[in-house]
This record gives sequence, structure tokens and C-alpha cells, in this order.
Amino acid sequence: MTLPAGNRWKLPNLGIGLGLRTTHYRDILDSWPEVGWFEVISENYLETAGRPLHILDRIAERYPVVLHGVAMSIGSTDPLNIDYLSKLKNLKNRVKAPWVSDHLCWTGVAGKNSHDLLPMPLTAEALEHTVARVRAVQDILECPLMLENPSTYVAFAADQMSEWEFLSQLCEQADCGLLLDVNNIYVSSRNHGFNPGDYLAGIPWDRVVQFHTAGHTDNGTHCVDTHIGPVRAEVWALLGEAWHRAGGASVLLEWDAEIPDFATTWHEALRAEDAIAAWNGRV
Amino acid sequence: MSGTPTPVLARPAPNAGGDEELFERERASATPRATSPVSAISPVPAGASRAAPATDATLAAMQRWFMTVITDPDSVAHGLARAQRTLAGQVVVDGPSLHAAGCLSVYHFAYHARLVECLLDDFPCVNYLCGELGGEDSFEQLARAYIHAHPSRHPNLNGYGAGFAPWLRRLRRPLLHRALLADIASLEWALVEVLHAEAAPILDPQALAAIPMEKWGGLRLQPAATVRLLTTAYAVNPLYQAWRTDEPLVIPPAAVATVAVYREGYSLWRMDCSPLTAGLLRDLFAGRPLEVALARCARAGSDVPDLVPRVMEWFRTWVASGFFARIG
Repeated sequence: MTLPAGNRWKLPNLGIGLGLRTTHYRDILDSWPEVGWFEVISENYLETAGRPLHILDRIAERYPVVLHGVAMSIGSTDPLNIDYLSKLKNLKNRVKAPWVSDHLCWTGVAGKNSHDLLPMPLTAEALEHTVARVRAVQDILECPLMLENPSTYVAFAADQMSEWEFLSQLCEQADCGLLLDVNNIYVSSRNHGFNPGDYLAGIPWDRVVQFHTAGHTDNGTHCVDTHIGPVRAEVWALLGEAWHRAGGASVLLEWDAEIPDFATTWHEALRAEDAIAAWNGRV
Repeated sequence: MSGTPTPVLARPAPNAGGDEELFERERASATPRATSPVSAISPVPAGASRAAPATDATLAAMQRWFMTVITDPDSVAHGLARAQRTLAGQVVVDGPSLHAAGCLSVYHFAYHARLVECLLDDFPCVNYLCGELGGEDSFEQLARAYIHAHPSRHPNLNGYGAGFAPWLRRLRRPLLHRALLADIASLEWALVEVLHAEAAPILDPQALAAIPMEKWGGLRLQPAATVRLLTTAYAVNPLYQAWRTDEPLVIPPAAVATVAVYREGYSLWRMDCSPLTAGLLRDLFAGRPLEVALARCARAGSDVPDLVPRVMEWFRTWVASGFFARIG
């Protein structure tokens, strides 16, 4: 069955998928469950030629596999890492990934890597800088790059626009796509005090190729994107609305801390179907 | 062969390991496993005002400022004090419920937590021994000192622990059982390297057997990418094996020992080597012709009875275990 997909590149809607985690390797290899697709953290399969890559090859033979990176550092003022991008392209070709994604963030500067998704100052200078780098990356990868909205915990005094305005202009000027993480929208809305509805209203929906959803930790004073536990009701509600606004797109559950068994994780992912069906059409 | 009193004469068969899934780790992820303690972050009344005009610094300057703050080994406050010297004006603002410093502490915590977790994944036995040996330093303290001395400069964390054992060895401050901990770290790092090594074809025993006898003397053998020969000041493999199997740990006396760490298929193995087998393997891995390596072995093992059949057996085991990639 062909699922609806509203993106401008006609990239397929792969249905509901899971972030591939080592704790689930055995279940997957033993029973080949009916999962729509898997997303892998690209860096876990770069710089290795051992068993992890062997398992990824086996999984890619049976499922669509999408690459999701955490180290491109697209917003950094350090030079792009061409060696990293070259290896990423090789991995993309190896698993026949329909698209490649990373985050609107920077991970380090002056040669030092934090391995964290650090927030961008939302300034005209940062936008111009990031546009040029996204274009360069797309030329190297020879495919549109999907950028994910990160969870952020701090705002810059120099900010000149909202995150959704930044993303919208970035997509337009660099001709890239969006991986919209509805949990991150919720987490950031709590940390910065904006209305998630305003965020959704500012998204260029024909650029959205994929959704992320996940659990988070609510500390009262702030929320942290921990990818722990079930997805909260508010986040499911955001997914329902966003999915319909996009005209359909692939949905993926990320679960990274205290990961339960495969059946429980997959059951949680399938709750996306209920969220999509439950949306009442109000925008 | 582990723990045998006469290692020279023992058969160098695989003695420990077979691990497959134990070493599979997701080093890269969008979030560290640990989350910052809420108590470490001080709230601020909603709507707190900005303290100073926004900086007009460049993106590059703001990013350097940010990294200085979140990678500070002591605290956000200390990092802010250092970073403010380089940039005029306000860089980050208070959130609805948190001071700007509280917001930054989320990143400060995550930076250190992620790299400590990475080292914990790579050096679980060192971590255990730090706790058991009763030294003043916890593994986390050592890890944080390493992180400060060796910030990551690569997009991938798979190689981040490469410098940990040499760094431990060179550590200037007193550390109980430092040489032993460094040797264990070397063994654990060898396992990581072998795990990620390329699964290239290995020497086919039949191809070797097809070579005319008269040409054997000049043969040189290339070691496989999936094998490491590790010589340490302590016999760490038996200690590591005892830790793996939950047996009582006995700290060994200092005595040079060699262990081969290797992969068969996707399983990791460890093989203790006697001085004689270690010497022969070292010569072969160094590319010495077979006749030279065997002659040196014969001299070193002149008091060993039945040396020739033993060497043949060792050689068969090494070839079958995938120690060699090819001839030449």
C-alpha cells in the first residue's frame, strides 16, 4: 500500500519505523518483525568494519534504512569535515538510504568536538552561514539533506528570529528538507515559553519528509530530551496535527534510555497510528 | 593456557572470550544516558530581565564562548568567568524558569556525561578495579581528567579511548596500581580495536599447504587486521577473565606477559602467549622470513623438548584462528 506523502521530492512515506538499537538486534535478526523501516545513527556505523556493520547490512537487505547523524555540525564555523561526509556518502550508498538527516546545530568549534547538539544563535549571519554549508553538503551527498529541529535549553541574546522562521528560510534558501521532531518542539516550547501551535504554523510543510517522536524528562523548571519512557500525550497530539499538515510522512520513535524489549518499544511506536487517527482536523 | 604454571609448553589455544554482543555499543546518540540532577540547576522567577545589551560578536566568537563555558572542567560559573574575558555583552539569556547559567549547565552536564559514558563503555574492567583497589580516584574522576587533557577532536567517538591507557601510564599524580590499571586499559582498548577492525579475508590454510616446502623458509606473513599482540608489565588477561566470570580477583605481581587479542568471524577471543610463542609471533608479525623467525625461536627454546612438533601445532592454531591475512 502506498502511504500519502506530501513532500516536494516525492520521497516515500515509509510508515512507522524504529530507531535501530543494539539491544534489539537479536529480536530483529531472529524474527524479522513487520517494522516499516529503521533509522540508524550514522556515526555508529562509520569508523567500524566489524559486527555492527555486518548486522546493518543484513537489516538493510530486508528493510528501508535511513541514516540519521549527530556529527555533521552543519552550523559550526569550523570547516566542513570532508572525510566524514565522504564516509557518510559511502554508507548511504551501502544501505541504499532514501534520505540522510542530521540536526540544525553545531557540535564543536576550533577543532574540539562536544558530541552534543549545541544550539544555533538564530541570527542572519548564522542563517547565511548554514545555508552555504547545507548546499555544499547536498552537493557532496548528491541528495537533499533533512535537518531536524533540536531540543534547546538556552536562547541567545543576539537572536533575531524564531527557530521556525530560521528553519523555514534555511529550507527555502538551501533547498533542503525537514525532519520535524515533535517531541523537540514540545521540549523547546517548555524551555523557552513559546506556543507549539505557532511553531507548526511557521513550518513549510512540503519540506517535511519525516517525523520523530520520543519521550522526555520533565524537571519542572525545564524539560530534557532524554528519549526515555513512553511518548507523552501532548507530543502525540502534536504529531497528529503535524502529520496531517504535511499530507503524510514517515514517523519514527526514538527510545535511547532504559530501552525496553523490542515488543514494548514497537508497541509504543504503533501508537502513532492512534495519534494520526485521533486528530480532529483543527489547526 | 591461562594460569598454567608451565606456559612455555602449553598449547596456545583460545582460552577466553567468544564475546559477540558484549562490545556492541551505541557511542553516538542524540542524548547521553544520564540526565543532570535537577538540584544542580537553580531556577529563576519567570520573566527575569536581561542584565546587559546583547553581544554583537560573530557566530564564531559566540561558538568559542559557548564551548569554553560548557567544557570547563570545574563548573559553568568558572567557565563563564573565563569566557566573559573574551566577549563583551550578554551572550545567552534567562529562560522562563531558569537562569542563563542554569540553562548552560544542561549542556555542561551532557558534555561531560557523554564522554565519561563512552570511556565507561570502553574500560569497564578499569572502572571496576578503580572501585575495588581502594585508590583515591574514582573512574569518573580519572575520566574527567582525561577528557580535560584530551578533548575529542573527531566526529566519531569510536576512537576516543585510544589515548586513555598511555595517558594513565604518563599520569603524574599518584595513582594506586597505576601500571596495572594502564595495562588493563591497554587490553580493553585492544578489544575495541579488534571489534572495529576490517573483516578482510584471512590466510587460507590450504593455500599455505600448497606452497612447495623449499619455499617455506623465505615466506613472510602479513598479520590480519583483526589481531593484536599485547605485551604488558602485568599478566592482565587472567585478571580480566576473572572479572568477566565474576571470580575472586587476585592482583598479580609484576611480570611481563603477552596476550593475543583476535577475532574469529565476529567473536572476540584472548589467547595468553608464553615468552616463546610471543617471540615467534612478534617476529612473524614484524615481517621476518619464516626461517629467521623459526631459527630465533629454536635458539630461545633450545631447552624445550619436542619443539618442532609444538611449533607446527602453534602455527596451525594461529592460521586457523585467523592471525594472518596473507603471504608476502
